[in-house]
Amino acid sequence: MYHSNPSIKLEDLLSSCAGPFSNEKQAKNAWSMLKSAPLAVLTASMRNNADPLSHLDPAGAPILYLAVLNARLRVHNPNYNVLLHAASHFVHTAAWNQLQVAPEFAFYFAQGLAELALNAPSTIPMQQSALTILEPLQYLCAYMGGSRGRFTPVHPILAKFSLLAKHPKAALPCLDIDITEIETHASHLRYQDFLLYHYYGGMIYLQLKNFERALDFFTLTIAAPATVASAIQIEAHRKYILASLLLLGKVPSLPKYTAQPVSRALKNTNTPYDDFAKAYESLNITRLQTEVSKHQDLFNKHKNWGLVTQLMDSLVRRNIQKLTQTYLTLSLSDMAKSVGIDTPQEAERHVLQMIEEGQVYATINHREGGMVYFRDAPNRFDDEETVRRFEREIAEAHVIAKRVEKLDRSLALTKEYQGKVVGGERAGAAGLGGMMAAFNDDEILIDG
Amino acid sequence: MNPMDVDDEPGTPPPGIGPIQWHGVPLEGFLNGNSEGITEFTNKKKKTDKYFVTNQKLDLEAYSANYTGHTKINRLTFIADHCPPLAVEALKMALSELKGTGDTVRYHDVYQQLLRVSQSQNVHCPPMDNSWYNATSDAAKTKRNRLEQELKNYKNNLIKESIRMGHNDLGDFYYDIGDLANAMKSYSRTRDYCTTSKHIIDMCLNVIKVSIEMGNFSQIQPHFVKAEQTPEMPDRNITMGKLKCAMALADMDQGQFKKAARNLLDISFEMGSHFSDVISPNDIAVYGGLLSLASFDRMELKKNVFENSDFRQYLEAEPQIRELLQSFYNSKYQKCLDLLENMRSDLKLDIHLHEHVDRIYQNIRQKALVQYFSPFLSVDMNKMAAAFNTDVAQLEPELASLITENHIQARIDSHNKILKVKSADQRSNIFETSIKMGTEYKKQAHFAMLRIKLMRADLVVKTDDRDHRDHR
Repeated sequence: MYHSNPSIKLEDLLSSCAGPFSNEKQAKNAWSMLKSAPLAVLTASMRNNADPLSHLDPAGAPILYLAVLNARLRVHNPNYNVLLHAASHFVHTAAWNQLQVAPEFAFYFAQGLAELALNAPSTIPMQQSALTILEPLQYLCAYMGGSRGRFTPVHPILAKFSLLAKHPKAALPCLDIDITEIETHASHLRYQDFLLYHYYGGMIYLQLKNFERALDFFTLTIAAPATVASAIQIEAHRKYILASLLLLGKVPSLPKYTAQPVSRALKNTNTPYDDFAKAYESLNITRLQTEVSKHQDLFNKHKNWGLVTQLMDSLVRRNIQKLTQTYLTLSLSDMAKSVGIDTPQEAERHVLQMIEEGQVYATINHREGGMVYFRDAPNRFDDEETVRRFEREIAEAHVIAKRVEKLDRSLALTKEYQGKVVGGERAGAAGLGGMMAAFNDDEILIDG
Repeated sequence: MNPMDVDDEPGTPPPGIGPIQWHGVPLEGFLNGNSEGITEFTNKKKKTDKYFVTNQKLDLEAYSANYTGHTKINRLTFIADHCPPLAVEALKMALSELKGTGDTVRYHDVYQQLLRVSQSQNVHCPPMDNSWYNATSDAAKTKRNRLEQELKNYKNNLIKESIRMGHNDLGDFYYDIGDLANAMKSYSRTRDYCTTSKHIIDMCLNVIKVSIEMGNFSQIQPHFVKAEQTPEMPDRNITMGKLKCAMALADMDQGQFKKAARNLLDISFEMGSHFSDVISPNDIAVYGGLLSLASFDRMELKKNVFENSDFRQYLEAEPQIRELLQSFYNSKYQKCLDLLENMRSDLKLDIHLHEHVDRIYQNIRQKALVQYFSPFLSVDMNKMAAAFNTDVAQLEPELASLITENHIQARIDSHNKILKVKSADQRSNIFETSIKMGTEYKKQAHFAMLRIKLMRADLVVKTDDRDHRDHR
């Protein structure tokens, strides 16, 4: 075996792992040799003192290139600019199809990039160093499965660094694709990856004001399978409450399958947020202000102050919107009185903005001393777009239904399920009895 | 209510007579604020309302004649607590009633209260009957010893029926001297020794009676069920009537007006005043009438109230309530509301109804508003205000809240003061709902599948040491 040889040289590696390989076994051997090669060998220079990275070709031997690059990224004091250049060279020219067979190299690469950005020279601000690795991460994420709805450990890294780079849109190509596939063997996924990705993703959608999707992401974090509560889930729940208030004006209940320990932990730790939500739902501006002043330090500490202030502003709007359900006409002064603002002018400003943003359909008549006429939302369901939209929605629902069916069938074929079905049948038969049979019987009942 | 609170109930002198610790908040009556004469105080500490009624129309003599036993005393002291003009008379009547019982503690308390009230109103206060007081407390002591001794003997002899009688007698005794907690214990103990249907019914009724007096309404439901299921119930109509009354009180305590109304309307007239140590036939008419108004729609009113011969007989005793029901049913809302306002102060003096009066009234008023609007497409709010004896400025917020709570499908034209039916666009609604349902389906299916995949991949939040993947 090659890799047991301690005196292995960089040149040997370069020659034996460059490929192309004639069969799978050969390739696998080469990878395991690269994986077990000592760091010192991989980071060494070539005999003629040249940089191996400039010698290697990502298009021909992507795995070899990555192995060397990853090793370099892990060394202390890496040469920042050289490695950035190499990374970008790699992502633009690499033969991705070869990488997909050995994904772990790509995932170490993502981690190496993250460390590179975090340990960037102190002259470079965090935002900028994060920005520079976004492109390689985007490539990695997309090629390693993100574009096919497959979850990878690159996802949370991409989401995190697009937040750090203050460039939330960078992660959208991955975020916008729903995850349909999770495979852990090759990628060493951890539950934290899933939680963090959806937490960061939720924050990104919050910044982009896509509250609906933000809520979905936070929900996925909170309702993830759990036997204990994770701090990430608790953090996500805080944002979940604030985001639901912004979007819906109330906090919908969490999915039924939210793990017991999690919901208990949420109840115990996030009471200030629950109180705040109750105050907001009451639409009472003074009550909200009391709650806010009570917990101001806490909201600041959790870095949720921005959302809280947004909510404070939105309450007036929400109250005005509520009036449209009740009134056909209403004077600006009455409106100011009933939503709790000081002057009719301020009310008018709010209404105008809301009309512009399409939140309210109304006209203001100044001849009658500032009278607001509310109209019904224009009927939007009689055009071609509606038909197209429905066709699209139906098609999507079909795809999902198919996937559910497929998953259902694959579940029915699993050993566990078959065991239960068979066990259940036997339990019904007389004479077998015993603990096992009784146990299985119960299980069948639960599975229904 | 917790049994420990019993002593705070009508028995003790009202702390509200001394105005120092009360935080006066005069509440405007919601019926046009037309309820002067009722001053409300809020006790911040106990979160109970304390109020005084001064414009009562109640005839104390006639009122108290309807009741017997403890409830008579409780009702009288309740009135004394909340109605200063009637306090002296009520307390005196309560005292003379108390002499028929063995409750010397209560006698003493009520007397002290009478003394205070008489002094503050500068009227003469008769001396306390010390000889009765001493004789009765002595007799009580001997009687308790005797009963306990007897019970011990019965227990030694292991005769079921005697033991039941022993517990029952002891329960009666405790009830008589006003020791409700012990009465409850003794009555409950008879449960294991009941041999006939009658015994079970007696046990249930005793427990229920004590529970009502203690304000411990949660006890009523289980005993109601137990009694109801007893076969061969003696005097079925009367017993069921008593049980239904008790159940109705429990429902009312829970704010379940509709259930309470149904129970009350279901009482046979045969019961009459057989339950006068808890409730009078007049109360059945008043409670039943008001609660059905507050919770039934027109159809239900017709079916359950007007076509109910038993209840109509009860109504004979309370023509006011009959008139009220009729006026509501015939859409004469102004008359209906006037009648209600007339009754308000007396209802506030009712031991069971007082805390629900405001909510009942509010419900009735809301229903009246809804019903008034129901046949119209648009209504001039000025006319509507006139029909409800109010003005537009007050009517508008009321209607607004009815609309937000979805009781009326309408919108207010605040400029022209017109209430208009909301034109429901069914087509748009259907489009909106189906899009919403579709999106929801997609989301839920996606979440569920993702969840299964997570579990299959064992990506479950748990405490483990795999967190250090990066540092292998």
